[in-house]
Amino acid sequence: MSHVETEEILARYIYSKNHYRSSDHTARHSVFMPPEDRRLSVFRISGLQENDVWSIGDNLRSQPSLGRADIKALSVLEIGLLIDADDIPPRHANIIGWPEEASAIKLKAMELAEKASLRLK
Amino acid sequence: MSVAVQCIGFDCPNFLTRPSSEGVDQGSSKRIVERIIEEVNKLRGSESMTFGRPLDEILTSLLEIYRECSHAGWDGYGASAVTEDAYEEARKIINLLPSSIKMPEIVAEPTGEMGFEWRRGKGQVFVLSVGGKHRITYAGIFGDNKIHGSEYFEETLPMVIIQHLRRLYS
Repeated sequence: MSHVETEEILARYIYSKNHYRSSDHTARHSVFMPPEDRRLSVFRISGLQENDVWSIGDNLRSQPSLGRADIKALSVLEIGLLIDADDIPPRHANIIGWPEEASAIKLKAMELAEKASLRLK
Repeated sequence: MSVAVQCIGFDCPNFLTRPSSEGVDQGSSKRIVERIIEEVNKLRGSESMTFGRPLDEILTSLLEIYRECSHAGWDGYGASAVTEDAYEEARKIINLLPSSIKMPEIVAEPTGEMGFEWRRGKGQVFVLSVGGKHRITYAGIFGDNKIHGSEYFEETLPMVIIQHLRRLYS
C-alpha cells in the first residue's frame, strides 16, 4: 500500500447528475456513499495535468464523466476515515474505515461532500 | 363530503351568518354557490402548495429521479436500483411534510433508497432516506453539531425528524 500525503487531492468521478447540485455547484453526499463492500473508489490526482485528470474519469466507465468531486486526503482522515492506496490501476485508492450503521455512513458521506470541491466539465 | 370554511384571516361570507330559515332568491343562491366554490378552491390551493416549491413540482421531480435510477448501476459505480417501494414511501413522506417546512431536493442514493435533502448553506444540511421498509435513516450537520439515527415510520412523520428540520431553519 502506497503512502498518501495529507495534502494530496483525491478525485471521485461523477457519472450521474443526481450527485451534484447545479444550483450552487456543490457535490451531494450521495457521490460519497460507499458501495456494499465499503470501499469508495477515488483517484490521487495531485501533480497531474487537468486534461489527464479528466482522461482518467472518461476511461473508467462506458460513459464519460460529468465532473468530479475533489477532496484533500487530510479532510478524509480528519473525519475518521482511512485511505487505502492500492494503485490498481495506478493512482487508484479506496476510502475505507466506514462505520457499520447506515445513518453514520450517511453522516460521513455528508461531511466529505461539505469539504469537497465540485468540478464540472 | 363536508367542507369546513374557517374564517380566520379573511371576512366570513354573509351566507355563513345568515339564518338558515331565511329564503334566498335564485340569483343569490347562484352567488352563494360561486362563493363556496371560490373559497373551497382557495383552501385546496393552499393545501397543494408547500413552502418553497409547489407539491406537483416535487412529485414530478421524484418520479423523474425514480425513473432515472430504477436500474442497477445508475451512478456508474454499481449502485442498487431504486425500488418501487422506496419511491412509494418517498411519495408518502412528501405528503406528510408539514406545509411550514421547506420542500426538499430529491436525491437517489446508491443503496437504492430515495433521499431528501434540505440544505440551508455550507455546513447546514439535513438528509433522510427511505427504502420501502418503514424506516427513515437520517443525518444532519448543524455547524459543529452533527447527528444521525433511524426511526420507524408508518402513517406519521416521526417528531424527531420535524424537530431537526425546524432546527435547520431556526
